[in-house]
Amino acid sequence: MMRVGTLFAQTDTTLDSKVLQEVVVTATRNEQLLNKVPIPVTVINKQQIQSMGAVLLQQVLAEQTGLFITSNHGTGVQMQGLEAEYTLILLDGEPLIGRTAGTFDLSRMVVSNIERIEIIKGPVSSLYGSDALAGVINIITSAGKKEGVTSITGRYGSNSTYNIDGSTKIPYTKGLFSVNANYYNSNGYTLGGNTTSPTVSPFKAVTAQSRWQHNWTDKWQTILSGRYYEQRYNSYFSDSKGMIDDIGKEKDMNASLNISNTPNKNFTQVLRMYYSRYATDGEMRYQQDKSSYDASFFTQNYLKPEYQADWRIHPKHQLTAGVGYVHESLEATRYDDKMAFNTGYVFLQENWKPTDALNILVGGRFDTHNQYPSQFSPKLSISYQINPAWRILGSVGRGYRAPDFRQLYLHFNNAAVGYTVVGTKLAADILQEMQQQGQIKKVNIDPAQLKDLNAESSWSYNLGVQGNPFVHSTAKVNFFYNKVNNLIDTRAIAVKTNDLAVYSYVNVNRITTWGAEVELGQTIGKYWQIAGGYQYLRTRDNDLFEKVKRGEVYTKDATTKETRALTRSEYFGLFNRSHHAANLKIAYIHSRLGIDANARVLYRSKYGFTDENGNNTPDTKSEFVPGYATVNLAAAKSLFHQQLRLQATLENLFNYTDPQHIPIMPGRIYTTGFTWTFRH
Amino acid sequence: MKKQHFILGTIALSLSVLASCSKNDNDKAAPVKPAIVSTTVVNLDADAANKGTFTLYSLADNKIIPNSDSATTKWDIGFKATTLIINGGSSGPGKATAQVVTGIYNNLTLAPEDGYVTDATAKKAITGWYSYNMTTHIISPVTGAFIVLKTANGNYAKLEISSYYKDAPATPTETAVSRHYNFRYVYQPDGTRNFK
Repeated sequence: MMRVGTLFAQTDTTLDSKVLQEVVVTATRNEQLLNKVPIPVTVINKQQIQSMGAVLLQQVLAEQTGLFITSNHGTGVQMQGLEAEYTLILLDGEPLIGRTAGTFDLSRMVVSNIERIEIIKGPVSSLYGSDALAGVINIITSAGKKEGVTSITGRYGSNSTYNIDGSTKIPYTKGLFSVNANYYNSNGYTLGGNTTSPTVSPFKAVTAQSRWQHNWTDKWQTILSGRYYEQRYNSYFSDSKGMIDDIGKEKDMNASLNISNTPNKNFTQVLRMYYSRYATDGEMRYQQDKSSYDASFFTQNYLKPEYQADWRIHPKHQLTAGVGYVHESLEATRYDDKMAFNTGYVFLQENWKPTDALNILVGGRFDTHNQYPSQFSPKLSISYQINPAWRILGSVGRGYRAPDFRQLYLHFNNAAVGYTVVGTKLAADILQEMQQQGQIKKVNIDPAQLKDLNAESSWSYNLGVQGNPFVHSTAKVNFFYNKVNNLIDTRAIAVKTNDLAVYSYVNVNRITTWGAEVELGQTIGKYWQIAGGYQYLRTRDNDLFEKVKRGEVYTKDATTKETRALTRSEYFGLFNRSHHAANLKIAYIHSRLGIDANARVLYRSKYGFTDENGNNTPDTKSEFVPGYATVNLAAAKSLFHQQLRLQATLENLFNYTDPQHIPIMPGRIYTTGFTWTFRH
Repeated sequence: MKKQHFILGTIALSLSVLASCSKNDNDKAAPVKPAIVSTTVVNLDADAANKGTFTLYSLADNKIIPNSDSATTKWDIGFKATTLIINGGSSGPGKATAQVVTGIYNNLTLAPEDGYVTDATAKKAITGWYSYNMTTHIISPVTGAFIVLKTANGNYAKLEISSYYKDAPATPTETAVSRHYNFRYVYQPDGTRNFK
């Protein structure tokens, strides 16, 4: 369908001149002009989300240059070649919790009341601490405009997927109140004639959100916001004794209160209280006699008070400082006791503009934690406006990701298979207990060595240019290099008398990811926009690559069928990473006629899926997922003075599926929807 | 008794004299150096019927040894599903020892001097020769891993498994018939470590 060569793409380039005055907040934790901030920020605005006809967050992120949607214990996003656990997801600046095996499931987020999404690639641990190693995605729901709007949206599509959404925004003299509710249902789907369990289970989800902003005086403002999410899924599978129903619930809520004070135009201080809770509850029962197969629960609580001050000391110097504390607790089936984590942190950032053209951002954050070594994450970013059309941006920073609960405290005995997994903090005690009970045959790693599991950490470098090559066109290029150390991996620390292992976690691997990203946009005439994006990505497991260089990694030659050493150029890199990815978007927008239509093409080249022959690298054909392209279409028409908007979408036009490798890709999907908007 | 069904084909790819390698040729009468033979074995049934028995094999004679001879030194190596035993230690009366080495089979012209272990009840000498895919449940030999062993009689051999499936499909699928070994080996009858 599409060749990788010249294709660049990106879906978010809006070329209006007003975009130049767009304000972003994620890069610095305060408002900055998008075209001045020294860190590249991708902004996806509401209009772009609507024109795609997207309902869930992953649909929006899937079409962004340099992002890949992954499926591992939930739908996640890969950024700069780093997996889902390394990207921090924020909702109005506050972290969303409830990650399973590191992945925050993006399908928990409906996009209906999102105003814009800001994406920063490269570490921002200097402001946000753990998990902001590959980058940050900030979902912003608060509207800038104070206008009264009520709208209702209904959408129906393939696989009985439908959603109903209602929202209202009520402004008043001193504030703004908004509320939104969404119901989402999907009957799931089954690919490839699989009868033993559905590929994607049927599920229903409810989201409710509200926000109240009140300006008490010129100097004092409060924002109170809350979100509630509940999902139920119905799945089934079978074992030797028959079919088993798997029914589960997932609940997620968060609440925040911001009190901000602006005593004068050079000083602002904010106190933020944030609370979030994430809980799952699952039950598996045999269909025949309703006897229990398994039951599990997981409850996580997160409480964070934080204070931040922004002080313009001098027209050329703006200082941002903050201090905060996080208390996290967890109770779950696979954990012995209720666990608690405490983190205290301070961050400091100086924004220095020595000249009009030069913008320097230097900052760092120090996190002290009761469970793993303290982390210091500095970052330096510089931008220089070469001429009115072009500027260069460069940054260097450190990112980190804290060991998670399971890596520290999991205690899981797989009764069916017979192995055991223990968190590093418990390893010594549990192993000793097992030894006393005579369950251990051999200890491979002294558990005392595991006690100080460290955070995974990186040093990252980004260098790019942004500008306007022609009239009505934009161009962005960025080169990135990430070196991640201390990756946490599982190791068999002991052998049990049943010859199965006791696993725990150790810091071992080092990986490097590097590449380049290009985004171009062009407006043609009054109604046409064309945008393209391309990412070139290379990745490396450094220790494995050393072995490749020494000729100690083997492959079977495709022609001679003989074993030989894998050459350096044949080393493909980490699994699940495509070398090339591209997108192309063509949009037709005719405001007077109320028509907007677009076609988007997404391509990714082949990537490693699994290791079949024990050399820990994808090398034979069957270890790869072939490259593919998908085409998505959307068209909308507004009627009755833009009060009614009708939209039809067609995703995956050519019905591309690969059930073996990409279960999260259903075939062709049709949807139709309407939105009725009432301004008041 | 157990009726075992073997599909066994052997191809002798002797570089030198093919005629000199018939079974009863290695008596003391001939002072000539015995030829080193490279042998390929296809579709060796390794308990495909799941009866719990090992298929015993003689590398010296390139043939299956009946289970009734399991207490003798007639066999060198035994196969049952993914488990491999050698005639020694806890597995048999012989003096077989083995190790799994990493490298290129064709390039190994001299067997390692040490590193050989005997079978123990808990841990067999031959482990780590295959890789199991948790999603597809396919067993694949680890590329670059092969076995060097001292046989029941103390002679050296090297052995590389190419497939665990019947007819050795290039990309086995879930429908492939497992527990059928395809392998090649070189047996050095003169007691030296030479494979050249």
